[in-house]
Amino acid sequence: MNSLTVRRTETRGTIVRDCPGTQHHVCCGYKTIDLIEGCPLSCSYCILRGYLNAPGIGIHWNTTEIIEQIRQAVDREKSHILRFGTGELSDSLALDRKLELNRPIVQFFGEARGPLFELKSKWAYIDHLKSCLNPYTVVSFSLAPQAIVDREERRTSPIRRRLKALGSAQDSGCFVGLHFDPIIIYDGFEKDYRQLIDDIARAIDLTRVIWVSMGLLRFVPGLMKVFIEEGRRNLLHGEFIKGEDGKYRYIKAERIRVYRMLYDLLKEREPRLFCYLCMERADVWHEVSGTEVRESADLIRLFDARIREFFGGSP
Amino acid sequence: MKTIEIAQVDVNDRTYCISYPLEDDLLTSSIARYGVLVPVGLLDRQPPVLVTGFKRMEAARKLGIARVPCVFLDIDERRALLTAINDNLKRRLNTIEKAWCVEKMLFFGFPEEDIYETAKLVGLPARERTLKTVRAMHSMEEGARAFIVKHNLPLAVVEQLLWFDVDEISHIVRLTDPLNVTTSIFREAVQLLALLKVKMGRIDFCQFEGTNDMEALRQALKKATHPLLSRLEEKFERIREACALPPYMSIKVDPVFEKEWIDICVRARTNDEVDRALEKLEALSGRGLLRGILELTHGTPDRN
Repeated sequence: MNSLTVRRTETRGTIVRDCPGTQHHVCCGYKTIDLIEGCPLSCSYCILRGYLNAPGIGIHWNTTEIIEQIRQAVDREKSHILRFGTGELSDSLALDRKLELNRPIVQFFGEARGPLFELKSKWAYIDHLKSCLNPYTVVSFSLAPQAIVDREERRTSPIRRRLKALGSAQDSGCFVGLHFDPIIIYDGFEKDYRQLIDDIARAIDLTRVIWVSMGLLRFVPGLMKVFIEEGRRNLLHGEFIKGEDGKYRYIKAERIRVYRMLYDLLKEREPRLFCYLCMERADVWHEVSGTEVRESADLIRLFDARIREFFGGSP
Repeated sequence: MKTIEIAQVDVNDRTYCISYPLEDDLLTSSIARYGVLVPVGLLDRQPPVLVTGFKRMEAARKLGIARVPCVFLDIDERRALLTAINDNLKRRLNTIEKAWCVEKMLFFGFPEEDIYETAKLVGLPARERTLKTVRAMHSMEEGARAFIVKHNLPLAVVEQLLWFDVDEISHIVRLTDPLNVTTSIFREAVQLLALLKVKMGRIDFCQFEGTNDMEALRQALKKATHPLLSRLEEKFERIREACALPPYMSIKVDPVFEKEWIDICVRARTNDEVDRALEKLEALSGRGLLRGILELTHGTPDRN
């Protein structure tokens, strides 16, 4: 881990928010808890490089206040099952062994027995949380071929350790999530992803994976310059266009091809897997999965159905 | 007023020179007619060091003038540099001159705060990146400097140019100098070239030689960096040609084939024209041409 400054940030206003989503793309209706702003893992492609302008890492310590904000959000929105996560502006676990910020939140969700709390990470250490993990906490890891981890996620845990941690979370009675995000198109990526999915299927029980997200690399225009300057050949290998939201993303025909490949590989392993696309257009959804997901409400309904399937009617 | 023999001054000592280029036809004509009217500024050293008036000195030297009026300055080196910068602020500086102001202040060890103030004064962004760019510009060859001034390129574009090594910059200059360079299209072309370099590891400049305007160069670069998009554009053009639309009808798609819809535009003045347009559309639909375009916008161009 590097020596980025960690500073205490006063919690002013709400830090429990709707995921900002992106214009003209289907969002899953996630709620973000911005417990930590900034990330020590410093992945080369990280969107935070283009968004956060404060150096170092800001920590909101006041978990009592944060839990109150979560409670209010749950009270406000009763039409569907809420999903919360701390992995939007940081990695959920990278600093948690030291800071223990997630414990009270995990406990809150365990007691609330309704909404779900997702720990989304590339840092394979959950032992400190094992005693409080419960079915309402989803332990998720971002997964990419080890070749990408070696070059673009250099401070993160190796894939085998992430898979081991996922297995361990399942053993503790948790549901787990898999995030293929960002998926990067590089020379030979198809073979590497096949291998990765084989490894996942060997390491964990796919029938107890609550959700799988897929999101191809996308980034704000400012990062194009950074990737060029840093000579990020893997990141710039594919063909990018500027989408309707102003972000660079792979050309649509390529996105469909790659999503389909991964979707089929995953479904071959476990036909009942719930795979969703992160920030994609309705027509891409249709072409990849044959599902009509025209707006966020459609995707939220799919999530609700999936969660009910796992919890047997409750929450 | 004092005068000095030009031969006594080392005109190649450019320590305080922030003028680029030194050749100035208008000034030379004026000096040829009236002589050097404004004295040059010299540091009182042995030999004297030129602080202000590099262009005047160059013109006088070229015209074979032996002596020029001068003022001796009894100031330290930092003060001399500030005098040189100040002397030039009364005219519009080009990007190289602006960069030199900052570069020379860095060389003389001015505090960063003062350097940023001067950067703002000459119209450069007061940020760390500017200092980095200015330092890197030091290694630029004469051809590149002349190119930047000739085409009036701002520092932001020079920053992009510095993604390349000296040889590559020379290639870019040779390739684009004869073309109708504007900042926006040059910026785009440079970004595409940089993308190509990252993707391929090197740029084969030969494939772009003989391009006769910037737009054609941009297209050629786009074809190299975005082959899929170029193929979609070609397919769309072929279908559009097959549609043989009358002048009052047009079909447009999102230029990057991201938006799933297409725009069909009909300009009609009479009901008869509306009927004819509808007939045409029905025929195009019947021949599968509209479906062909929609497949491009839906990202499934190879479906049929």
